[in-house]
Formats: sequence, structure tokens, C-alpha cells
Amino acid sequence: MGSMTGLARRAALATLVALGLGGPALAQQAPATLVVARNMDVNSLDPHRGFCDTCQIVFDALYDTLVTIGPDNRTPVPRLATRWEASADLTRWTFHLDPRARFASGRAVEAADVAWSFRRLAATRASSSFLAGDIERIETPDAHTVTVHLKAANSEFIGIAAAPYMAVVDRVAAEAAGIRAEGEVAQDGGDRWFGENSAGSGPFTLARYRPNDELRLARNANYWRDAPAFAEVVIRQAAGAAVQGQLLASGGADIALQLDTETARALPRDRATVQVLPSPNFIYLAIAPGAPAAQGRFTPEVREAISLAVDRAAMIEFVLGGAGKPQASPIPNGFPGSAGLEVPGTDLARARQMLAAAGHGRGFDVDFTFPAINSYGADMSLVAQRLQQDLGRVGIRLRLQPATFPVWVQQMRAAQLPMTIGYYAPDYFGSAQYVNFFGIMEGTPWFTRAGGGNLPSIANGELRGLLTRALAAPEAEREAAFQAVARSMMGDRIILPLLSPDLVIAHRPGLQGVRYSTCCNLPLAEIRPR
Amino acid sequence: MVLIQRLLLLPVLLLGIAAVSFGLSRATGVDPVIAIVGERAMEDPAVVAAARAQWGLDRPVAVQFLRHVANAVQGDFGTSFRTRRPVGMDLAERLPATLELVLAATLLGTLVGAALALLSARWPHGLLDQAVRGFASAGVSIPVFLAGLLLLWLFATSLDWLPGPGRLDARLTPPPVWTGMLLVDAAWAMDWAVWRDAARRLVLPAAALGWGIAALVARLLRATLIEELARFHIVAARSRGLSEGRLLLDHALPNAMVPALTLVSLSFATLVAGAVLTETVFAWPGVGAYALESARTLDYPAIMAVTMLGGVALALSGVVADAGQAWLDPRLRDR
Repeated sequence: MGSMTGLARRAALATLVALGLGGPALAQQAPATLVVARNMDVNSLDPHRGFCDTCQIVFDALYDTLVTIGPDNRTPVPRLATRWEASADLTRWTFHLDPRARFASGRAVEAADVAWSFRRLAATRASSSFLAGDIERIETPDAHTVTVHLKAANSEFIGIAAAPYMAVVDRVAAEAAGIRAEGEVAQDGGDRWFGENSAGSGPFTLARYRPNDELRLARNANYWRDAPAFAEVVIRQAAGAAVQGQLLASGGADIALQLDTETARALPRDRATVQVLPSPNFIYLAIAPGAPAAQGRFTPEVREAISLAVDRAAMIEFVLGGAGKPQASPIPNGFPGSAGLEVPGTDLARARQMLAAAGHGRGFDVDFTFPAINSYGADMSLVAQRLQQDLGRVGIRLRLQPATFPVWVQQMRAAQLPMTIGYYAPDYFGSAQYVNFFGIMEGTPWFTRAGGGNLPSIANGELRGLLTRALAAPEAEREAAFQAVARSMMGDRIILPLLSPDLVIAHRPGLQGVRYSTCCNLPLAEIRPR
Repeated sequence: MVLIQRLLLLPVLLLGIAAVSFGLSRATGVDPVIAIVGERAMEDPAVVAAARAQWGLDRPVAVQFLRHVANAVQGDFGTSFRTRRPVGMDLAERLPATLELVLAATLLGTLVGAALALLSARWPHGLLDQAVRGFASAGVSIPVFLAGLLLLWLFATSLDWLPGPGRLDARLTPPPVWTGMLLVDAAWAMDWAVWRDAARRLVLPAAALGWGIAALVARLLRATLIEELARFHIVAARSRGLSEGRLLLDHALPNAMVPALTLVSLSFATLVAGAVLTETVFAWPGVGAYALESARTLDYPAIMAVTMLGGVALALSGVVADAGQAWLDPRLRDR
């Protein structure tokens, strides 16, 4: 067999050589290039319009923010601001800029650039604009001091300030290109201009962007802090774990970011170092008691029974091969308010008893539409199948109906889905985003989606007050205050977290500094050869 | 005459395609703003209203369609919801990659298919013929994405003979764009390192995509060659002492080529469709991967432009097939 293979190989190589294709490519390789393979979900490179996972990575590389989140994934650390302080009522935040900070153009970063950038983020009315939505006004008493006045107390503003969407842009360069922070911002051509240029003070500058093909970053020659190790970073489009794994295994990429555990296990050990890290991303089961199709079935007791029927540990094993963590509340593991919360257990007997007491001793059928996608390494079809098994054991029969992502969103928003599953990844390091999205209180997306318009009684009357208290709490009391918020949301039993998939990051041996960041996804400037 | 008629009908065909694709995309009933602002921001009325105004989605559907057609006539296919760039610019960047792949697949498939057909017809019903027929059956029945994954696994991962996915090693600097086809541009720039890398990376996707063509050509050409070899003029030539090789290449092949070349011309559009999956598997930045991503994200301007491009490709491949037939068969020229 061995000689056959050798013969075949020699014959094929001879053919290839005859065609002029054989042998290793004599590539003029620039040794300082780092290649990252991922599915590029970029919807804009305008830092005040783009909103995606890849955007977080790229904006963090091109632009500085006032602060960033440190390697412990919790603590704010200086970036443009060397220090900052908040007023006692947490409505006024003052940042002191590093006088050494320079844009790639060579111009000094000034307080006016920060104010211009935050105003523009709010004015673009884009997906990320909500981050600047609580800003009442911004003062710049001198070139290196910025004071942000908020409409209400917000202990998490420092986490928001670390989000890459709060990018500080060189206003002089941008305005020269017609980019605006006021007036007709919608038509300022930012999508186009920022797709071909960058105007930041980050460690890299934009060299070339071809949508869904590749994005090239070049080391910022004027970077004012320690220069990044790689002269060039290429983010290469690779849809799906299989293609990313192939690229890494064949040397076509140095880092693969969206692998599942099965693909990671199949990678040759000598070509890939695999990190499996806990993540704040999670998959949840959502129940809509007020959806017409729910037919009034989903009382608090039935929702409690559903929660008791789900075997979360078995689901993690089934969907992720064990590479995940259970999560107690809609506030994910590692975020303020999550510490010490107990994950709901499984108790089939009690679930059946509660369903019988609610008049559903024979169970019932329910349509279950879900997005047929793979999200953060979790195949949503597998999640739905496992749920079908779990709930079937207590008589709740799910009729699975996979849907494309836009169709699922459309139906969910119209409160047409009595039950579904969804996923969430953080936009910044802070817990209020989860309350404002998942909290069952007037004005939140999930109040509407759960059918709050039809059934206002599902509203959680204490939640808004708890959130306000948590956002105004001094640091020493903040964890406990957010924990009260988390417990209150758990009590609703409308958003039931099912699992938090671990992040699987694989890279070629010989790299260090490859890590996940809760604010910025993958800080490229920290990666260097070993 | 037929060719001129077909070309004259092309604008009508394109208008029809535009109307159908526009109608179908709106018939889904899904709000396209979801594709622009994403799931979470859909709950923010200010964001949604701003997006509708910016992208012209606040106008009546009929007005949207008429504007689209009027702009398309002037070569403006609108701005992609996803890439936020003119769709024409996206397609101009991506079309050469697809053309390079499809042309390579056509060339490879035709040559391999023809060679196999000749061998098969020379020794019909023998072991080699059986093997060729097996190859042809596999070629038409194995889906192109599976073929692609198998080829990658075998030649890139297991044997390490050829590079993995991608059109060019990301560490290489692409040549200046002249045609957009890397092999041509690299040769023009005399950048042989890039040329070799691009050529090596073209082999597997072209093989995956061209396998189906090779199978069809082998099957059809084999049948017509065997038919031709039984004709009287071949029998007469054989009786005059011509070698089997000359009979096959000089007498049977020219006559048998007409239907095979028609098949190849008409398969061009099928190959463009197959490129959707091939480009995804091989991370090939062409129109196929663009089409798939556009459909997945309801990027209406891109979907409509790609559909119209496909219509043009299909219509032109028919015209090329007719012209090719007329060139090869003088009896058809006067029709």
C-alpha cells in the first residue's frame, strides 16, 4: 500500500511539475504578516455605523477608546485616558487624556475629537448609537479633559466607554472628507469613506478592504504606544469551521476564530494550539406568554415546569460535546450580578406535577420556530432537537420549524412565536444591556416579543427600580444590586438561558497573546511571535 | 439571423428577470431593514426610520422598482445593504475571480472529458471503458460541495500536495489589477511567485467544479464517437488502411465535437451556479459566494444584480453555443 501511495504521489507530482505547478510555492513571504481566518460579518467600517463581531476586532485595532478592559476581562484599564473619575451620583464622568496620544496622521488626540466622535455615534442613528444614547452633553474644559454628562446615573458607563464602537476618530481628517457629526449625518458617505480609509490613533491603519474577501491592516507608523509585533494583519474570509480549520491546517491562516470542538479536535497537533475559553455568549429559550399562538397556556407555573424539564448538562454535552457552561440568568457568567447564582435544576416529576395542576396533564402541542444557523459554535438545530426531547418527556410536544434568520426575526418581533431559541453576545462589558434587552418591562424588545402588548400582566413590576438602583450603586454594592436584578429576571421564567458555548480559538504554535476580550473580541495588537 | 433576434430580445429578458426577482424578493414578506440594522436595533424606531429613509425603503414598492430599473439602465445597481458599496463595484471585483474559476473548470473538464471519451471509444466495453463510465456516473451524481471537501481533505490536508482554501496566499502581495484574473495579472506583471501560488490554488476548485463537465463530455462524446466510428465513411477509411488513432482523431472526432461543444457552452451557466458552492467551500472571493451571502442576508440590491448577471450569462452562453454550432456545422449558418 505504501509503495502504491508513493508511486501515485510521484506520478501526480511529476504531472504537476510538468504543468509548472509542483513543489512548494516560492512565495515572497513577508514574515511579519498575521493571517486570521473568520467569517467576516462586517456591515460597515464606519466605526460609528458598523455593528458586528468582526467590527469589534477591526475597530479595536484601528481606533483608540478612552479606556479598555484588561486581561482579566472585568477591569477597565487606561487607553486614551490615563485616569478618570465619576461624580458621586454617577451622572458625570471626567476623563484625562494622555498628552502623548497621536492619530495616525500625526495630529495630537484632543478632547474635541472625543466629543465629536461621541456626538457622531449618537447622530448616525445606527445599530450602535444606543451606546451614546444616555449622553446629555459633553464638556471639553481643555484639550486633554473630557467631561461626559449623562441623563441618568450609570455605573457601567466606563464599560460602555471601552466598547470599540465608542471609537475616537480624527475629526480633522474625517471632516476634510465630508464626514459629519451633526446635521445630515445619514448622507455623509461614512460607509464608503471608512471602507477605504481609517482615521484613528490605534495600533493599525486600514490598508485594504474587500468585502467578504479580505481586510488588510498595516502597522501604524505613528502609533504612540508600544508598536504591535506584526507589520501587517490580514483578516481572511472563511465561512464555516471546516474552511477555517482547513486554512489553519494548511498554513493559509495563523488563527482560526470560529471553530467548533469537533473541528478543533481534528486539527493536527503539530499545526495548531487550541484554546477552549469560557465566553459570555449564550443560547436561550424564550417563552412568549402573550403570543396569540400561546393560547394563554404559558402561566408562571407552566413556565416553571418547562424550566424544570430542561436538562442543561445533557444539552451542553449533546450540542457542544461538553465544551460549554450552564448559565443561571440572562446576565452571563462573569458579568456583574452573575456570581453565585444557582443554575436551575432538572426535576421531571415536579414538572409533570405542575403541568397537571395547570390543567395540562396530557401535555400539549406547540409550534417551535427557530433560526437554522450555527451561533458561536452551537448548532441551533441541535439545541431545538434536544429541547424537543426534554420537553417531550413531560408531554410538551414541540413542532420544530426551522427558519432563515430574517424570517425568524420578523416573526419573533411580531410576537408570533410562542416559544423559540435565540442567542446573545455582549456589545460592551456591563449588565444593564441584558436588562434593557431581555427584561420584561415596558419598552424592552422582549416585553414586546413575549406578547406584553396582549398580556401586560407579564410585566415585571420591580425590575426597572432594581436596574435604576444597580446603575446608581457605589462600587462596593454593585454586584449585589445586579444580582438582585438577575434573580428578578430569573423569576420571570420567560428568558431561560440554556448554555454558554466555550470559545474555541486555534492558532499555529509559536504565537502568544491570542486571547478573547469581553470588550474587543480579539485584541490584535497583543499578538506576537513567541 | 437567430443570433441577432436573440440579442435583440436580451433587454426584454433582463426586464423580465428584474421584475420577477424584485417581486419574489418582496413576496417573502420579510422587512429588508432587518438586513441593514440587525436584530437588536430593529426595536429602536429612530434607527429603523433612519435606515428606511437612507436606503429608499420608505417609498412605495412600485417607485422602488421603477427607480431600480431606471438606475440599472444607467449601470447603477444600487448600494449593497451588506457591503455598503455600489453593487457594480462589488461585482466588478468579484466577477474576474468567478470567470477565472469557471474558465479553468471548463477547460479542465473539457480536456479531461475528451481524453477519457477518446480512450473509451478506442477500446469500448473494456475495463478502461467501464472505469470511464464509473467516473462519469460519479461526476454527475456527487454534489460539487462534497467533491470539493473530499478533494481538499485528500490533496490539501492528508497528502499536503496542494494548498488549502483561498485564491492567493494572504502573505503574498497581489499584482496590480489589470483584468482581475490573477493568472493573467501576475503573468502581465511577471510576478511568478504569485502566478505559481494562484495556479496551485486554482487546481482543486477547478477540479471540483469541472468534474461534472468532464463527466458529461466523456459520456456524450464517447457515445457520439462510437456512433461515428460505425458510419460507412469510417469503415471505408479503415478498409483503406488508416490507423485507428487517425480514424478517431481526424475523422470521427470533428463530427462528434459539435454536440459536445454545444453541451460545454450550455454548461457554462450551470458552472456559474455550481460556483456558488465551490466558492464557499474554497473561500473563493467570487460572485457565487457573494450571491449566497446576499441571499442569506436579504441584500435585495445585490440579489437583483446577481440574478440579472446570471440571466445575461445564460442568454450569452446560448448565443455562443449557437455561434459555435454554426461555425462547426456549415449547414446551420444560413438559419
